[in-house]
Amino acid sequence: MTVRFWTGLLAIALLVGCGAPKEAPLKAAGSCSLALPADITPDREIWEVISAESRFVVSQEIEPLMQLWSEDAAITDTQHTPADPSDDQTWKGSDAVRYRYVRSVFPSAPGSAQPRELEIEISGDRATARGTTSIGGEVSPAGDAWELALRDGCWVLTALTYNLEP
Amino acid sequence: MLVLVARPLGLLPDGPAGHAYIADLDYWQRTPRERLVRSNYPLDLDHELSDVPLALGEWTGREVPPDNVGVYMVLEPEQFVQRLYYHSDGRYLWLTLIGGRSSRTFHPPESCYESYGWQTQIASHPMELANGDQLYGMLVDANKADEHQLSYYLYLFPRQGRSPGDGMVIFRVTTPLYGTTEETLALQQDFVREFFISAEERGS
Repeated sequence: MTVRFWTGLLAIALLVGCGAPKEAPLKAAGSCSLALPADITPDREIWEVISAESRFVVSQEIEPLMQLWSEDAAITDTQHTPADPSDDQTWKGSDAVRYRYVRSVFPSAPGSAQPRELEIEISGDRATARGTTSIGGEVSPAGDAWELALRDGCWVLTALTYNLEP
Repeated sequence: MLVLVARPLGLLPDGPAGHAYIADLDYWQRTPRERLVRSNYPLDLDHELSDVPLALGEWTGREVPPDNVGVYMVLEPEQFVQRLYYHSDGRYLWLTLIGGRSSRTFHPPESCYESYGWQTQIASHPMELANGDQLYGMLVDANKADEHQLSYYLYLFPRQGRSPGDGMVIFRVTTPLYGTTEETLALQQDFVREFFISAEERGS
């Protein structure tokens, strides 16, 4: 009995030690990081992603917020002069997107934020959503343009251009 | 490694291993780019930042007083070093070291560009050190009319706890664009390598 026990334990130890290292599981990205129903329509799925972005801004949860974005995402502040890029501020890549949230957005501590009147257009594995965002008491009519991509079955945010309104 | 992490990093003994610090893109929250770095020179508030040599490899520097005294008064840094270093090939680079124990001292460098109407693009950028380690900082690519500058910066903490009382230092290098962005970053990397020996991922 004792021999069998130790032999078994040794076998398990060898198996564990010799096994190929497992890759860390990939984090669910974009819409797949949200608990959405399986039969949700693409339009509604995109709305949920943008709505979650607002929700996580208010709750200041940076990790779930970053899961909504692609690694190569970009955010651009057009400074209310969309026709003139000479004064644009752009944050490029997920490190910079994170940096913008933590340094520029969270300190303002918005008590509420939500997208409104989103006009969503889907073209294959790409989508755009133009809308109004209400952050606290500040309303930006048609001031936001979102871009999303369908990657591995999940809609992820790839770009936001804001302050588009004059 | 466990001993290094458990001890106050800024109190590690000087020697060939260099001065140990936590480096990160930001100080408000830890980021995935946090690194344990070793520097040839002390870059903390227990030392005089102005003790950094004026002669660094191919670089020769001189002190430059702050160009905007008003801003300097508002920020109230505990230590402030601004230098202009010339490479032996004639190209130059600004080094800015600002040390303090209050967040008011540390405004994002890009906000200066923005307030003066520059177009900016901000992204993280890894400088490759001589040993192959990658040291991440934020890179501001700034344009205004015919001016084009690249500014690379990171924050240094003497202890992993990042207590404000321990202070922190922003390490920033700025150059005009020399040729391509890649060529300019290579110049900055040459300078950064004079300071930093290694940059280990945390937990490695």
